[in-house]
Amino acid sequence: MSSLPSHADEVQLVERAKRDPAAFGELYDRHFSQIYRFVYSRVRDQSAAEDVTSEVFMKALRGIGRYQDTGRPFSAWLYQIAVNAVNDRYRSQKPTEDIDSQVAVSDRGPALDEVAILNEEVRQIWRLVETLPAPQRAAMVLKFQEDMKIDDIAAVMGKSPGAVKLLIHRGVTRIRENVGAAPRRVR
Amino acid sequence: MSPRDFGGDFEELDELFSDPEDRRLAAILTSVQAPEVTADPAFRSQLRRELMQEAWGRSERRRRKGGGASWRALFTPPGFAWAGAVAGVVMIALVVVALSHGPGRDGTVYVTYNVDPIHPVAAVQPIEVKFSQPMDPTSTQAAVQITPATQVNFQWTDPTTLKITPASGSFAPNTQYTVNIAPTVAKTATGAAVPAVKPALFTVAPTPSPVPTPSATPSVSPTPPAAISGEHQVASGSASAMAWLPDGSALLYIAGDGRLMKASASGSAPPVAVAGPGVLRFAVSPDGSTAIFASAGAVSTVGVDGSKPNQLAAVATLAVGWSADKPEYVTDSSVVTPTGEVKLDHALAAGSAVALSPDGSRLWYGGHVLDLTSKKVSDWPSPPPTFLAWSPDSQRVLYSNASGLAVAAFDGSSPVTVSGSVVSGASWSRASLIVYSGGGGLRAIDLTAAPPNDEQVAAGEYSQPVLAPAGQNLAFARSGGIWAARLLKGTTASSAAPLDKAAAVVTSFMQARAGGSADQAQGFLDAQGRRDFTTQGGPQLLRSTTPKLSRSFTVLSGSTASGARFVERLVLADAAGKDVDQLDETLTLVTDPSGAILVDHAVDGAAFAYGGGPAVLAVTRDGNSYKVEFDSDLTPASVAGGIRLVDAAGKPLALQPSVQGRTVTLPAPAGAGPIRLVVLPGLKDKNGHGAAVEYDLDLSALAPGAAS
Repeated sequence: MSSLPSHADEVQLVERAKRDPAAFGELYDRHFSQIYRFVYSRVRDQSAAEDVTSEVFMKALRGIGRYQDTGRPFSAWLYQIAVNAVNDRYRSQKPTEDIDSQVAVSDRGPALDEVAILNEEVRQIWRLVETLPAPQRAAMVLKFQEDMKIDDIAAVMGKSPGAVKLLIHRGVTRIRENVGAAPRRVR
Repeated sequence: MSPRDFGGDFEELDELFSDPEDRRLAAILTSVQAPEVTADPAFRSQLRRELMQEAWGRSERRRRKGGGASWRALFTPPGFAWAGAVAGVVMIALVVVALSHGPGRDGTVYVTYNVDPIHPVAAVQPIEVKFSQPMDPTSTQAAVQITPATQVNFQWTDPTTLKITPASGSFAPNTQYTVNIAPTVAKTATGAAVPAVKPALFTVAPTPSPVPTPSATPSVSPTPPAAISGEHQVASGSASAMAWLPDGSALLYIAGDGRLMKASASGSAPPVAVAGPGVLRFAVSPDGSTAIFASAGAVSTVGVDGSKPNQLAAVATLAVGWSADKPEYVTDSSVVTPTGEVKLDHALAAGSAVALSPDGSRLWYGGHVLDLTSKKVSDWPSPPPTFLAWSPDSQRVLYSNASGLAVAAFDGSSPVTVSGSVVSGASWSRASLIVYSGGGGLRAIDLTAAPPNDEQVAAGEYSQPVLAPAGQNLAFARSGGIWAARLLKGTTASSAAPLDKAAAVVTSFMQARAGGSADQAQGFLDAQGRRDFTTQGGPQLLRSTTPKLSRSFTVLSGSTASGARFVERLVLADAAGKDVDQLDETLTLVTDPSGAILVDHAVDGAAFAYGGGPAVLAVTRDGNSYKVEFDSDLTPASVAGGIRLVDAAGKPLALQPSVQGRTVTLPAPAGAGPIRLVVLPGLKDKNGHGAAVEYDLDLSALAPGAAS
């Protein structure tokens, strides 16, 4: 198993990518899946996800010369582009696909006899996530789906860390208020 | 699904949520996710290609503006024309290198090459580097760098001349190369280091085609008539004499150590010793089962598999041959035939030009021909010409004199000059065709034409060519090795590969455009192709304003189900003839109902940069395998992970690729459904450079036999 590249390695790769197309290709290889997954989670449509993902990487290519390392992962910059691209798209259209078909549980989830209960609970939770205002929704996806740090999410969304915490906190609170019965304990 | 668990980043969650229920809800949100979203592999690959094309285009534009230019960037293919312009369109790259302690009169080493940036060279053209002073071979060879990465052999023809030949026998067609002498590594024979040398730049010409241009084009000159394919080395070392078995299945030759060797035409097995050492000459029996051979004091026969050696006589001989299925030989005073000994009218000196005819009925010796049946001697005019070969039917003689090559009846009558070339060797093993090495390549004389047609069929090193009596096999010597190939000339057109035919069409099409002939160029287009070239914003057939098309070359080529696909690099020049821009044009060719190959589709775009690592030149299907040809010799260990076939779902197929030089062979899976060829950046050239760009090709369109 290969270890994750260090931040210093990533900085070097990004610097090379400013001049060397092959290095940009390596960046693409590293980040394509997560960006596509994030975009897909927001637009819920393959065709739209492909459009937006293309736009993200094309913008990244055109803007990488101006990119400056701030100590954050390079992916944060890509997410920032992605968030903006998705928002641009949301201005003209809304996602229509039912989230019911999008949910699953992790590999190390509960036992089989609890899966059905958990799935129902999860479906209900994510339905509620979809009803949240866009900023709350984006912050929660980046936090809970992409495992990003608050500071990085803040950089991506152009907000302060405190504002991001507030968005997430409000989002979770609103979901809990609407879940109804208290969620069952899961292992 | 990605390997996350309920944990997540609980430090931040703890900070965010003081309420245990909120934390548990957050934990659930962290632990669950949408099903693993997998992008369509085709989309992922296509986007990467587009990004890379955009990236290279941007890189090129930056370079043109003068920003971030590097040595490598300057000499990568897109920069090639610019480098040529900077070089001032020189015919020979002349490099002057100052040496602080040089042994020459003025401490200067001059280096010249036999190649230049403007004129394409043959794929088998050795590169000669000529130094003005004797060089140290070891350090000089160590200093040679070739891009794209290529395994080469070195040969010093004298202390100042280094000949560089690809180990595979040929450079990649349609490919630009640089040859550089690394600074301070090369040393003169006296030990002085050469501090800097500019590289040599050259382009290898496309593989010529054996087929002329299509019928739809009336008057465009075809590409050079071509005719060599499947070149491969069958043995290493030199050969003092070579002869095919009559069926062309194997080649007998006398190796440098004097052994009589047998090599298969395919080169699939190492050569085996038949007899020797000490073999001076030999001849194969008409049925191909036995060889007669002579050594210093004996003449013997042996099966061509080395069995049943049998000494016929302990005598020195001047020639050996066969009369029907019986051996015969020539001593200094007589010819020993199956029916008896025939005395010569005078004694022959050692080393005399003596040759028995293929059927053993006649003997050439020093300007005389002895009929071994009638014992009659025919005297040729004096001075005697240089004997080269008997005709296969033993009725005629090929010889050379001051006027060139000529053919005459065995008695010297009816002489016909067939070529103005003066050569020292030629092969006449097929009634209507003579082949010889001359004029910088392999030449063939078609005796069925009136007058006989002498033309070059391939450029490069084709020494001692010998054509098999039957079939297409040709043997020749090249750079310390013995090679075989198929000579297509004189065979039916069906032996030509579709890709070769399409290449001829593309070459003629581009020549017509560069020459400004719209009518001729239109002749290569079908209706769709004409539409493409008249669509606003589409490719331009002719450029009415500068910059105009000055030349072009093929960057990529490959077969498709209905024809072929080519990427042509168009070099545009200003009014002064200076190269100012380049672009790539992708041409799709199809075969129309009449059988003509025409351009059916054309698009153009920014010139793509190749040369940063292995790049695919051509993909063909040959029987039950796919052959992928790259521009660089590859690191074999990188092939398994760097090139693969995948099914429609993107799943790699369990196939074992094999690699030789720059060619990868993949077995074609039976009944696998649609499959794609994918080349990944993990594929490395022999210098460790990864593939510059991912390559993804739908192979389902490649029908069996659509191979070059």
